Amino acid sequence: MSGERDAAVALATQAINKTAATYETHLKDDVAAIKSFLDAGDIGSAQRRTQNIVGEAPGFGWPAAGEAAAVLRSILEADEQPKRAEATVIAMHALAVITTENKRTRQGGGEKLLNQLNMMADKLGITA
Amino acid sequence: MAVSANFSDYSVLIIEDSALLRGLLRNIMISFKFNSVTATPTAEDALRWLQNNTPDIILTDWLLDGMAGVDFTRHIRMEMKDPIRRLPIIMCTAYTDRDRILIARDNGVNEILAKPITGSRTYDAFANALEKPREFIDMPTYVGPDRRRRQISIGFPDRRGIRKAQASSASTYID
Repeated sequence: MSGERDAAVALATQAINKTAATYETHLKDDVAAIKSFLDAGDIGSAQRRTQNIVGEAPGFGWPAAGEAAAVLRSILEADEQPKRAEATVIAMHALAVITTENKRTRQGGGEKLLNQLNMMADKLGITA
Repeated sequence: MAVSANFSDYSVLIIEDSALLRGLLRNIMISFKFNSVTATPTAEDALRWLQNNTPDIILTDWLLDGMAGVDFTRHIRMEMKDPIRRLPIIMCTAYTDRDRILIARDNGVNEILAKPITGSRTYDAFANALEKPREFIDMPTYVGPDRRRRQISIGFPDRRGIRKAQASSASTYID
């Protein structure tokens, strides 16, 4: 029975590794798409893509991107336009840095960036 | 000690809003040889599906579009009829702080599967939920698996059985 368990776990691990290996590209596509939607003023589509990152990134070893996306999601949900515009630029910058500089986790380089992002959100009264 | 299981006797319902993760979880369940795998993107879809189907176990994400996984679990435990309300439910989440775990536990979740998921943790969560089920508690304030995992000697007779018996005879009397 233990052999069967090992075989099943090995197959599952293979499936996880295969998906995780392609996730970085997927994440960068999501960030690029959010930027395009924001440039076009399509907040609804930007929110949906942001939600994708919130749900998926932690599952594939990118919790820092998930956390930054959660802040961005809250910003996009904020009603006041000027507040949203300013904060969106900062959050998008954070997401771009996290993905291009491979800052996957807080411990792996994302700590400072996420703290700054959360402080900015706090200051603007936005809670993720 | 890791529990082994023959998942080919079981069917599973997956609730995950991310298409990418849904596909991955489906592949994992297939590699575990579940005899049937159904996946839905929302808890609302799952509830509709459950009107005509009964899986052996449910895996739900916490964060979903619409009804959250924990609210879905509470709905299953408090509003649905047997056998659906007794189904083992595994909650998948990236947020495993103590408060969240307690909320999940108190709403009747059987096992927590932390993200990022691994093959062995996923296997063990399913094997524990299906092959080592805890007693099912059905009380007015809590419905779900026994929240205590460890058997600890308390040094005096356990009175909860007595209370349960009293509650049951009281309800018989009222009926």
